[in-house]
Amino acid sequence: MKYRVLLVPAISAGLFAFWLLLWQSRPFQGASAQAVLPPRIVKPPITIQPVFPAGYEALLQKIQAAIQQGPHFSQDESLPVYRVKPVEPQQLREQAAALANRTLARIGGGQPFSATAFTLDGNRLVARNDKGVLVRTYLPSGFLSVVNQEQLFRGRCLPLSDSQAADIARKFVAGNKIVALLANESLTLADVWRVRSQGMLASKQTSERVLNNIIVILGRQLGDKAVIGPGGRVVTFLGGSGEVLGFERNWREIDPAAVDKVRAKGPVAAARAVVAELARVFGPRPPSAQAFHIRRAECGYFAASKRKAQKFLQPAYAVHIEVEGEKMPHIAQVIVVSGGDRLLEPLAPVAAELKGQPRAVRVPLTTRDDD
Amino acid sequence: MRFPLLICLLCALCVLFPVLCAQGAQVGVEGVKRFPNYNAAHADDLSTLPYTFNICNGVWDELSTGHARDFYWAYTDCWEKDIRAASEGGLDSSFADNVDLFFLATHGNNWGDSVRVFYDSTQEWWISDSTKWRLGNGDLEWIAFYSCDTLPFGEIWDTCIQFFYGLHEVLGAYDTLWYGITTDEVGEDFAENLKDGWRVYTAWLYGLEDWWCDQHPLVACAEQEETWDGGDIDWPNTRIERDHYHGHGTVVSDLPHDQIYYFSYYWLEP
Repeated sequence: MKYRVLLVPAISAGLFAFWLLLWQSRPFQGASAQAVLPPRIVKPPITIQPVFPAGYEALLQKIQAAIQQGPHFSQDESLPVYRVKPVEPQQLREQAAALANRTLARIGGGQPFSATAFTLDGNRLVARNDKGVLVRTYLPSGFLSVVNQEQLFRGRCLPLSDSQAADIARKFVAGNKIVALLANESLTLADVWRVRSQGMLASKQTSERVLNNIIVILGRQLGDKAVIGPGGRVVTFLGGSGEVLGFERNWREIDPAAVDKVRAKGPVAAARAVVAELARVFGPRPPSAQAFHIRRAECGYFAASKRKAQKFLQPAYAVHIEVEGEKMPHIAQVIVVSGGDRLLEPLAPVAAELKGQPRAVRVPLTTRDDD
Repeated sequence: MRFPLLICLLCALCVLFPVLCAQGAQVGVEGVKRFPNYNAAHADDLSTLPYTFNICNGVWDELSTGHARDFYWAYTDCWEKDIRAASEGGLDSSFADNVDLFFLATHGNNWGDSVRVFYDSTQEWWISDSTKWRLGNGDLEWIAFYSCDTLPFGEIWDTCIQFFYGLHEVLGAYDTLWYGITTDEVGEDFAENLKDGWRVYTAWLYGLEDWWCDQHPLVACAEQEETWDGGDIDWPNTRIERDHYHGHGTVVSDLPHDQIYYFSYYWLEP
């Protein structure tokens, strides 16, 4: 009896809700008489939040804070994905020879290179001239290096400041057109490294600490986003009083227009993805938050190393972590995760295929059951 | 008439085959990626080292020549005894000191004046300590560790002098070496550099770099008194500057333990 009383208002409320729904989804009648399609209903993505073993929550907070401190994507920000131009072997030969010849006088001189001088060795092309200038280029990525093998990592170098060294490198790269920049691309100073040498006696007396080379690493900026990873870099080696001893270019050319768009992960989602990777490395016993250090957290378009072919430049986050315990060995790992809601291809395809497979385990040469 | 010719040809092949094989250098590779046994025994937390085998495969693919002395062990097949001196009860004369280059990828650190590398096998100890090594009195010229913190600054002499018995160079790190999807190629890079004729120390410093991760490679070499020159080292004539991989440039001779006057070392500073 009691339920029958409730039945009439319930049916009325249901009918009213149905009418309201129809009203809301009616075609919009604007100033123009044109009928406009109803707004597309975008369903939120189904996300499964990984459940981490106890102890990862503290790391999650730390990683999230580190990501938030630097430039990062906003959650659901629309990010363009760029198509990488395929590498044409013949074009690469010609380009390598042209660039080597253009810079030869500064790097070491000797016989110029021709496109036919290169020897195919696996997935790379190699050529060397009479003055020890070595040219190497990798077919999967288009990576190119031209270095003076007799002078690199040797000799003495003036103690130039980072900015002095960067100036020399920038002028060299621009003057020799080492990379062709798109309208929305620029070069940034990523790092300046140094090669040093010394000697030590039994008494622990040391010789003079020699500065051998200064290495300037220029990064790639695509619009307002950085390119992260070993790709998107131009490395210049300096020696003597700032002479250029060689350069490397890991720079995948892209089409200027985006080929697709993805929705970005914000810092919260990115941190969770990083922790999910960490859980695979550390298992049920994560390092303590005290021992866990984040050396660098960055986001941008991921460009892989020279032996990996990439069809797309896609957004990613990278977190460089170190774990230092009192007795434990030092652990240093870089975790790279997608920065978007989907991937058009794996971020590092070749490595993923080989991951974790021991190549060969052979029968011992001598008997091992001698204990 | 044809039969004796065939016999002669076969005999010649039998004689030449080992000679041809011996032309290349011999290489030993070991890689420990996971440490479940170590962790269980120590209630400890040695992490997995992703891409260990990508690195090891790179060295192996580039440098192994099919010689009978070449070896490549993985996981629990890597033993601490493989590097320990025979005089200390180890098997180095059959493994680490029976090849020209021995490459090991695992966790590492140091105890001030000794290198320590970690294993996941009970054969016989979990940690190998360089105080038990005597390397180079067999065949070994170069030993390379893709492990963190193996060669501490300020302790190069004390660390190295214990185990240099004819060994030319030790290739390691004074701080971190990184494991990740971009450093998975370092083994191949290093090996390729050796074959491209770079000096051994340069092959290591240059090969380990992807110019993104902050790598800290260091190479130390045993040197004679002649090049010390009162502390103003005659670098072009040092052994480290003249040593190349077999078949790809000059290779210096072994320097007996008692003739080591100093250690030269090169490193890269991010």
